[in-house]
Amino acid sequence: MAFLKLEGISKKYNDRFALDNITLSVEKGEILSIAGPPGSGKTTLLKIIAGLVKPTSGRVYVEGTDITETPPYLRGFSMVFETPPVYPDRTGYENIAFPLRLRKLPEDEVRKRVYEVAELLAIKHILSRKPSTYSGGEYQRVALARALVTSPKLLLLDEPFRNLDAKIREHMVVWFKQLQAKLGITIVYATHDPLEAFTIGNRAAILLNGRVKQYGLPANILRNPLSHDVDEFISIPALNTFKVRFRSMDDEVLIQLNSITIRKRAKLNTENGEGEAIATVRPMDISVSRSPGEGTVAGRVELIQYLGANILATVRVGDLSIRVVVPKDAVIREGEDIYLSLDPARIRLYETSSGRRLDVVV
Amino acid sequence: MNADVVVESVSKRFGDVVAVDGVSFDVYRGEIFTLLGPSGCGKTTTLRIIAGLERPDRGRVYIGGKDVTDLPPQKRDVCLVFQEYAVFPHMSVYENIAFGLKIRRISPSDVGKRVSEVAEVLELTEHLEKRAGRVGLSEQQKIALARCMVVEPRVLLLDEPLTLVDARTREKMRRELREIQRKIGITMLYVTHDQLEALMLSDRIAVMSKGKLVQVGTPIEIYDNPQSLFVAQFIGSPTMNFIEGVLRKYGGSFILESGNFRIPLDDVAKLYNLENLMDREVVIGFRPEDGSIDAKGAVEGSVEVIEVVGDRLALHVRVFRDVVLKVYTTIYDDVVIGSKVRLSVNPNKVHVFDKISGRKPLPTGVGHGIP
Amino acid sequence: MEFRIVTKALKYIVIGVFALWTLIPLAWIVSLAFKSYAEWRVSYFVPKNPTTDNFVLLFKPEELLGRYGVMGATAIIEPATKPLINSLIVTAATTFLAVFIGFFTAYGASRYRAPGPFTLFFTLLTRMLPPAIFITPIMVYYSNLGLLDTYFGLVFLYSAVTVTYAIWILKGFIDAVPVEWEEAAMLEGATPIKVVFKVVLPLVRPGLVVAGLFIFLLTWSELLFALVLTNISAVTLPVHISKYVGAVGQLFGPQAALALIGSIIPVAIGYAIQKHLVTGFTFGMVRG
Repeated sequence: MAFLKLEGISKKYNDRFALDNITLSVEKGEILSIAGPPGSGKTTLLKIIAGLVKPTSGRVYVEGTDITETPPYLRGFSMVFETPPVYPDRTGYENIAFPLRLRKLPEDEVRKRVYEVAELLAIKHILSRKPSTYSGGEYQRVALARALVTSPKLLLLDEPFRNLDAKIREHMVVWFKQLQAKLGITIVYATHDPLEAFTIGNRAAILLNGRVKQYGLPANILRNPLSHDVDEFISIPALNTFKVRFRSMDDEVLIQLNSITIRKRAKLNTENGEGEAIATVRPMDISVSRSPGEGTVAGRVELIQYLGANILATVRVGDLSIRVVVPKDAVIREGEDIYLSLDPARIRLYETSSGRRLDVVV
Repeated sequence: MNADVVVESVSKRFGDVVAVDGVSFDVYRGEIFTLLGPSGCGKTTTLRIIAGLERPDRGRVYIGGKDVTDLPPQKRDVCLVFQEYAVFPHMSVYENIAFGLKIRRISPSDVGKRVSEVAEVLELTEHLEKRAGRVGLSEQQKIALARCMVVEPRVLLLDEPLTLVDARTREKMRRELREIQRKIGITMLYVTHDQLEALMLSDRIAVMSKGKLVQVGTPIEIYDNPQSLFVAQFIGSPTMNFIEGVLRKYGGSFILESGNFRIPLDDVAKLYNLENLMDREVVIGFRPEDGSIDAKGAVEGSVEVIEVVGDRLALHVRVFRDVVLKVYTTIYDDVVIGSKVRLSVNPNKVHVFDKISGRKPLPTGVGHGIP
Repeated sequence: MEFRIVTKALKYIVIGVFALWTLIPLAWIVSLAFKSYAEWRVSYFVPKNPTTDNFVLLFKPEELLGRYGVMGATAIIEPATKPLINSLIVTAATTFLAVFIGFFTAYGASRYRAPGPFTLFFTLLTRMLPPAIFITPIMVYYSNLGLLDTYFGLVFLYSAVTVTYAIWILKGFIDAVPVEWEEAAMLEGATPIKVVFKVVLPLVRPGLVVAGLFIFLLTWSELLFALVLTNISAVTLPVHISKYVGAVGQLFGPQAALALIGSIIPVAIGYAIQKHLVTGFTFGMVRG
């Protein structure tokens, strides 16, 4: 039985659906990541799980018990918000001890628990200091310590590392993943960054405009997005998106992009044998060479941007502008003529009207 | 050389804090030059000194060959685009862009001509009649840019102009800024704390730390050949892999020794002159992309975290008790947490640093008593 | 370079003018308080024969009467002790009541939205009418209710008009407390009431101090309401000061002396809570 189960959760604000029929479940000890752009309803969903917001319809179950009507202070969960609850008027110790004090635990028990969790999160040295002296990372750790000190049944995290510098954030995400492996606590983790969601989560749900557009193992979503909006959202650096014509023949699809023809081994899940569609390719999946080969397309490098390990090049092919990612030691220059090639398996087709994935790999 | 900006041993202190400490560099005509460093490294103060908003305690600033150290900002032929885009939301986009020109009492017909030219370049033409508060964030940023470009300064100064926009817009703006700069060929001096932004935008980067300039070079030089531990740590995301230890020599072989493991460094010793670092604490480092999963690799470890970074996966592999190394695989490779892998490293891409000073040893064949 | 020196000099001149502007009347009060009758109407600052008579006479009304005579019906028959105590009681009670009510109103206004036209804006109404307009009807009500010349009557009216300030000042402070900080506490086991007392109240303590001080100062120096609504037993300090008129006209010396005594209390309080004031005004800068 799933530890946490959301069944048909909807939330309406002024006749607008902030959340639309969300059904998800989380197993005990796993992390479910919810990834969505700002305004997609992540925070509302977390607050519904926490009991801070009442759903318009739908139920929340924990270990089979319906808790939809249980007030937040009786649920035994913890939550860390984007603005983490670290009160500026008291020390780190007092902040972490706060939930224990509410439970009226004896002082030596409070002390013992605060020190335990501080030890675990490596923040013992800042316990006596006020939050205004903390660095961004320390601030987030105190917030986490406070959420963990009560050993909550479920930890809800809403963009806990959002306000951190990119550099520290990357470090914190990896650190947190290692920490969770030690704790084994059940977590729902919301973030606007799909990559962070895939790194942190055992499973991930992509939330767009209040709907779960895809739900599953991170690797599966990453390799096989099921709709165009999911593909756009999870692909960094940004995708190449083209308007193409397709024609289905047996186990093959002919994709016509201007004068370029690509044959992909795939079946289409549409009635139409041919028509227009959206095709996407990740910049990483296009390779570059200096000499023409079979199936290569000639282009001219318009712009070079260094990404560190890689180079992002914008290549002009006829009236198309195609972005490709090549390794850092591929010496290419702006204005140079090069040849592009693509593994047809890496091109994805979507229905123009609905954004639904069309090609099914056979 | 065609240097549009010359900064000559500039220093500035605020009370007891030395904000800028003897900084010198040239910015060439028509390039994007970026001052990069963590907050508090002095990059913004340096920019403000060039703009004329701060007076240096020592040193001179030349713009277009002219000593401007004692000139007020408006007489320096520069324009500064701020972090918070200084856009007046109640005015139309057109009025916003024309603002600087009207202050300079340029004739109305000229104003119209110049505004529409700049709007054309920045692709703002369709927005000109809208209220500035009503357009998107990237357009607002462009308006701020347009306001500077329209007065045709010799040098455009930009102080972290993209920090407040969302990630997707930022990626788009990084490309557009570079395209615009290529189109009009203006000299840009850009300040940021974001190493990726610096790599993506710049022709050359100056890395600053604690008020000092620590390395100047092209993005690829800064990234692939860091001259100090600081630069190696600061540039690159995910960060470079580091292993700390003491450098020893046993029977003519160089070895990195650290508690319970030893790493042979003979290949690295061919690249660097390691004699001076003998028996000292050193840090060796290599970028994740310069290592690989290799069944014949020298070390084995278990995958602890799989970090998704764009189009790749960064595997965090624990090889010793205190050493976790990152290597990349593609998203199409099947890896599970806990699985064992062997790693190998391209020895030509291994860097060595003195742990205390952070300095890199000299390459072999240089400064080796050769006349 | 010369330009910078000129601007700097100008800056100091402007600051100096403003300093004089505010300090001269104050200095004049101090000077008057120590002057004897002969010097009250002369224009020099330093008294020729400094005296503490003005202070002593405040507490000896018979002697004061004997010396300066009576003018109309406004005889000084009470020593200044009673009005001082009255002012302290009325001001302290008003401050506490206004801040207390103000805090909860502000909390409600910050966290919930009232239905219909009941917006916080309406609390400003009492401050938009000149007090002179509604003081007469209030006097009639008070007379019928038996509230004239009572502590309760004064405190009631004072807190009704000053609570507006408490609401608006505290609302700013409460708005700055992220709702998430309350929600986190709620998840950690705090009931909504506990959240208010254990999270919000301590966090806005600087705001309580600011609002309290502001209201204290306003009430302490209020003249018009007290003048109309009190007569003998609830007379406050400002009213009492206005009563120092003898056959010789305004008794500037005793008035100045009492004004000086009256200003020591707010100055002392302000000094004591200075530290909280500074944190109060920078509260919004605490990073989230």
